Amino acid sequence: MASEQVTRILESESLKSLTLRRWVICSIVALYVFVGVPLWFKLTEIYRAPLPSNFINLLHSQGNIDIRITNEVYLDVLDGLKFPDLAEAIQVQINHRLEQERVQSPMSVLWNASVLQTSEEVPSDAYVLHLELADNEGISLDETQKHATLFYTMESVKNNDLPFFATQAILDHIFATERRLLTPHKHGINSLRYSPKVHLSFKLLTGDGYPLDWEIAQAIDEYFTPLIQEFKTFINFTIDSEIKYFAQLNLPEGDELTLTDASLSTVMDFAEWDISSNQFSYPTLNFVLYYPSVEQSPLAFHDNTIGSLHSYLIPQWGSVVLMENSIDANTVISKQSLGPLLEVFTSELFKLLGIPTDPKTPQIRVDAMKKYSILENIDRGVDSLVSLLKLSESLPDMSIPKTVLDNVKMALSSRQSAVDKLNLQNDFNGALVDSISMVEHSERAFFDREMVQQTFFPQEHKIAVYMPLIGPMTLICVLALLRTLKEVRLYNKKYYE
Amino acid sequence: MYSRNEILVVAGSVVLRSAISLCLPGVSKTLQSSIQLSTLMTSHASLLEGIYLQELGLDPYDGGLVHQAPLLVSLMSQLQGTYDLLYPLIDAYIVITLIKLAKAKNLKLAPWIVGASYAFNPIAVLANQAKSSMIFTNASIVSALYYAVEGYASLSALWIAIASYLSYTPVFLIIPLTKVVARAGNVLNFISVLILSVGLLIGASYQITGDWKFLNSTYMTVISFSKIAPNMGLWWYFFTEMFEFFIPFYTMVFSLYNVAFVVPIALKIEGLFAFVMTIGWLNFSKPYPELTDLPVYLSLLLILEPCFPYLGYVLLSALLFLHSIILAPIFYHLWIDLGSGNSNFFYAITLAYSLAMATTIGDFLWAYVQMSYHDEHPEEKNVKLSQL
Amino acid sequence: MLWRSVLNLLLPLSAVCEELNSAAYEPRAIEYPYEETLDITPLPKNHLFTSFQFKLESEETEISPSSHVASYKAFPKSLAPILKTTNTRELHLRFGQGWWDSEHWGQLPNHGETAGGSGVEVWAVIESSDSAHAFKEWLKLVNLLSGLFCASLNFITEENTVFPLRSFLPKDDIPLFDQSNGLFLLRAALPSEPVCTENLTPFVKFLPTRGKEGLASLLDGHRIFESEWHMISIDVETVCDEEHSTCKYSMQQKVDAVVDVQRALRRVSNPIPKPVTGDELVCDSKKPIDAFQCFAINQKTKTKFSLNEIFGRTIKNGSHLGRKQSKVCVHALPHWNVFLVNNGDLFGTGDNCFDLDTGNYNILIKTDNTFEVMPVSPVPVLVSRSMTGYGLDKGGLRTVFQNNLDVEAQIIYLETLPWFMRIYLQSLTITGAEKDEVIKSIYYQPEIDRQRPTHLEFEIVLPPNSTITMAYQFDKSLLLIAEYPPDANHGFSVEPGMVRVFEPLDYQVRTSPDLLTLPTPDFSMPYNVIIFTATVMSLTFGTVFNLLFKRTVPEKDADLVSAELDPKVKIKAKIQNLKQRIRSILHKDTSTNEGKS
Repeated sequence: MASEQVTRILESESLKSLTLRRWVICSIVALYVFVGVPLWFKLTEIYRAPLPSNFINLLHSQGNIDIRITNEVYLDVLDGLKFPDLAEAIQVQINHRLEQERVQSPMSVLWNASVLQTSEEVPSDAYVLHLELADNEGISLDETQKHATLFYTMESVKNNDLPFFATQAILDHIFATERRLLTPHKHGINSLRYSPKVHLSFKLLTGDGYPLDWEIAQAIDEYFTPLIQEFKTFINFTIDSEIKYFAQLNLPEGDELTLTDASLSTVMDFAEWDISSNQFSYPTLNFVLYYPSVEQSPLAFHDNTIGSLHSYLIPQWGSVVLMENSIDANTVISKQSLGPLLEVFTSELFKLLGIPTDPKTPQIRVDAMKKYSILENIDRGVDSLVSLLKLSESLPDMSIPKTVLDNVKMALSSRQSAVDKLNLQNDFNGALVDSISMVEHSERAFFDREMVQQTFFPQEHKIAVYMPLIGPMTLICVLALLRTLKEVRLYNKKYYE
Repeated sequence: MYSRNEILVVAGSVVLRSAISLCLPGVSKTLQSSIQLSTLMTSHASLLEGIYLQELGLDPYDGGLVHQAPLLVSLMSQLQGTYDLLYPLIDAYIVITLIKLAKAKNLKLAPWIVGASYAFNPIAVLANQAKSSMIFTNASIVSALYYAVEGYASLSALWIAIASYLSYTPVFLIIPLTKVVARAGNVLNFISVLILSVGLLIGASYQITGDWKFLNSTYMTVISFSKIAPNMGLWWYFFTEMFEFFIPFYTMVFSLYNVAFVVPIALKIEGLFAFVMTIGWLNFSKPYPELTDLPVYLSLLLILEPCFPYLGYVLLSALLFLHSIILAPIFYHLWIDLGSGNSNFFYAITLAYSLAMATTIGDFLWAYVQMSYHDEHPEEKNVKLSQL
Repeated sequence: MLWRSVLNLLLPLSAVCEELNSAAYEPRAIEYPYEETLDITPLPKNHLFTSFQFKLESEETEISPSSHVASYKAFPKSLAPILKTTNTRELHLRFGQGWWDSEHWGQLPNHGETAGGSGVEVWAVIESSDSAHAFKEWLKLVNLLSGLFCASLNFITEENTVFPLRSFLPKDDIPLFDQSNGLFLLRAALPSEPVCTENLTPFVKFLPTRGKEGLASLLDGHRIFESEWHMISIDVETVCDEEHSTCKYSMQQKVDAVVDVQRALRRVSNPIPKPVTGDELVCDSKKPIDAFQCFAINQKTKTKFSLNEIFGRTIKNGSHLGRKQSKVCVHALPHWNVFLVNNGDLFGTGDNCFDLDTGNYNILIKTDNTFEVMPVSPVPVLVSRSMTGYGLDKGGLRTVFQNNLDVEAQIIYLETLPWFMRIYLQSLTITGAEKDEVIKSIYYQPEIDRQRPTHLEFEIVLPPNSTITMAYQFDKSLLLIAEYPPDANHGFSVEPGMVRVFEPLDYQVRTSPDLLTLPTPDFSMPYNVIIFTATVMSLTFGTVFNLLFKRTVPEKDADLVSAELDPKVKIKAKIQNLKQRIRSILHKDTSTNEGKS
């Protein structure tokens, strides 16, 4: 304990001096605490927007269990016959079969077909199953409408086989492709990921340097445009064409090379031909018609069936048709002769886009692709969001700007909107648009430039920068503050009691 | 009214300065580009550029060069051709005001000595040739102090408003000045005139330039330290070398540091003394200090004559000042012109200069503390003091 | 004729394929919008000016909105979509290096229109609703071009882009697709960008012949970039047909180079440099010559060389794609003998112009007197710029204009200076004439730090046969440590100033770029500086704080208090105590030990 003399010295301070000293420390500490600290917080803050991690993880682990796809099929009995309870009977059978299959090979979503009696108004783009009395049982699908006709005999009516046949027609014919696509399976390597816009580039390549022309624009208008019109609601195509000269094949000199699928990649050098560049933000598919140069022709093909086109599919890239002989200078390839070529390219395009080949009715295929793409988009979007979460968790010093959060929110609300449209309104086009928007927003969130570029400082680096100035000044202030607090206790007794 | 000596000092200061600009015009030209005597904010070249751009019909503040206040640019464009006389006259005005101030304080020191300390201070003479626009601020500050001491609250407010308008940092001098005014004048009067005149000055500037861009060029540049160039202060090298992430934060820290002691000094210390010490502290820690700040500060220190007996480090401060002021241009030359030195040379000298400033502040504060203790305890006249 | 008319659209597939295979099409002369020419002009001192020119046009469908299938024939498919998406109506690109010796070589080719400055220069006319949007499109454009040309065009930002007022007035009317929009001209230059083979490769790929045939087969990057001066230029314009309201791009690509023939030949004949033997030396006749003295001049009187030796390649066929045949012209006086070499045969023509067809071609040039060449066209205006002053903190720019004409020359002088050069326009001085008579007007947009460059456009009238010097001063800024390039002490390039003469004739010429050295901090010091400055500041803070905060007491009182309360004193006392105790214990031990012994 301090001696009496020291205590006397300590307590000898005048009230005025004491108050002054308190004001001095107060003014500095006030500046420190009320101006310095908030500004410090503001100026060195690494903003990390709160991502809805629980919800995203839930979506990731639970899959698409909240999605329900219901297809309506209208039953239309021709020939004036009436089966009042047929619809219910078919529905029972369908439900029974789906129930069984759900156990054996579950689909990725809750899928159902509901059978309706034909009422006055059947929507023009609805699935309709016509029942027609015939000599033999059979099924035929319309090529222009989403209509199918089931031929039945009186025999089957008697045996009460009609519901069974109808169920088969619906599940195994009309919706066969759709059900196959919606069952979890390996993604074909040929096909592109779904994109609402795809660029198609038609190229005429020749090994020579003599001017050529082709009536490709007219040919496309005539043979190709009507086909892709069917896909208008699904994919929007942009098209261009070009002619390139001096595209030589890398044939080994001297000996004859027989072209096979395997040797193709060494023979054709797209980079050298300068045709692989993509100026668009969306995928490009290339369709090449190739004429060899005079020196290199005729080409020898492995499967030299005379008259057929030698077309080669290059996954994710496009398709090449190699011609056997060179082409004469100054030739204009007419619209008509391009017709079959475009037919080949069309079927290659379907393969490249992963559009199924059956059934014949294009609308049914497009419908199946739409549903498949919606689910694929939603999965992709969720995957991006999960990756974003992982990234943000692994780098705790990285800033997460508000724009990222906004994009995540937009992605999630797009997903919700897509699910609502599927479940409640059967609005597949709307759901597709929403699912695309979900992918876009989730990818924008993941690839946010600010987040990627933001440099961050490790903690020890920060301390090294802060310590030299802030350290001593803080220490001085804190010690003075402690002393003042001590004195307050001491002197309050003396002056105020 | 004025003694012979005083008249001689004032006349001498004008003659000396005019003589140099008349006989050695090259000196003025060289000094104008010296970064020790003027900064980006105050350089004569940028003032002339502002006038030139204004005459061309361009907005001087739509660019990164002109940082002087719009009214000053307009005023100086009216006074073109008279600069060689105008600047010595402003210095003469500072000398006269200092003499009047000394008289008002009834110092033991002869007032003409205070005047002479500015009139014949080599740095003041050189700074006058460099035509830094800081000289207008200095004149305003000295006037504000003089009128405050004399009790003319309104005049004092007007002058400090002008000083703040011209170069922003003096705005913090208002706090100690209020204390000075409070002794002899009407504080209410002071504050109302102050607010009025600042409003008028800013409003008039807006009228002249037509938009608010000038605020950004004149004040925001100082506050955010967005223009980095070598000067005599602590800031420039620190921010050149600082990691980009921390620049906003440290700008804040340095700005707070700049004003940290304004209130405590005004609280603890008597008015005039507090005013001079605040000038010292601001000069020490402001973003764009220059040697032109120094002569007024040194001459004002003379006004604090009563505490002279308590000073302990006069020699140290003087040597530090001499050392840094002489070496600064040399090391700068080595770095910039000859290339035989690098930036660290000049940086070291600016640190020494800052230390010199810091020493005078510490020394005078300690002297004041001792003096006031002895005033309160006349019985302990010759007792050595310490702090607890 | 092999073709058959195909009437039936629904021919079986195999049958039509047969037709595709057997070239069953309509043969007709296809108008292919492509032309190529090569001009060769011997210059004094054994130099050779070669100018490759390629002209091509796009299909109208490529930009007209009516057709949904854009078809590309001559025009490069990699370029058109870029121009289309950025609404670019005109694009001009220059990659250049070297110094054009106007004194000996005369006017720049094409009146300087296709000559850019050193480094990379690009300007474009963009259709847009306002300048901010135009700038966005501009950034998109240069970023896309950057990928296309393997050049650092992505370094073009707001810091080096200007909207020139009068220096780049387009020749013709530029079509507006949307009448509510406006046209914006933007320009930027990267003077320190090196130009190299990577930039020539995409250039050649743009051509329909793709360098496989025709004159482009002569273009070898290494040889071109070894030349004294070379300039690659690309100019794209949008041309519209009012009547049919269709539009197309028209593009001109040029490679100009001045080759030092002697050096090029030496490289072939003598890859490892050896001194020239005495009999091969050509001595300067104006200086003393005898057996022991010879002031060699680097010029041979007799010369014989072929393009193959200059470019290391021969021309492989003329291009069959062009509207016209590929053409090579040599512009020389009659005593220069020029031959076309094809399969060992030599051909000559009266005008020294040759149309190329099929075969490997070479051009052989020989003369007995290289001192006489075609007279060069006189240069109307010369300009040169240099930095003045010393020191890293300030400097000056001095530009000399020389008017060689007998009449007044009206010119526009454009300068774009980086923001860290803060110029003082008041310091502008003119020597050689009265300032007011020379400078008619100045457009000045001062820099803003890190936001925009200084943009100066002078309207100048040069008196007949005069030399005018323009000079002004500037300050240099100190940058943040992170803003310096890795070789900070090398300096920053200041892009060339550009003179456009528009009266009495049209001519363009640029100055060479200048090197600006800035003051640099010590790059190894960040932590040292933080610590030093912070120490001074904390010291002062502590001192002043204590003076203001602590109590003042007589020294003896303070000593008393600190003796008792100061933690340091307390700790010292405790340590002393501890020592004492240890010592006493040790002492006890030793004393007991001693007792035992």
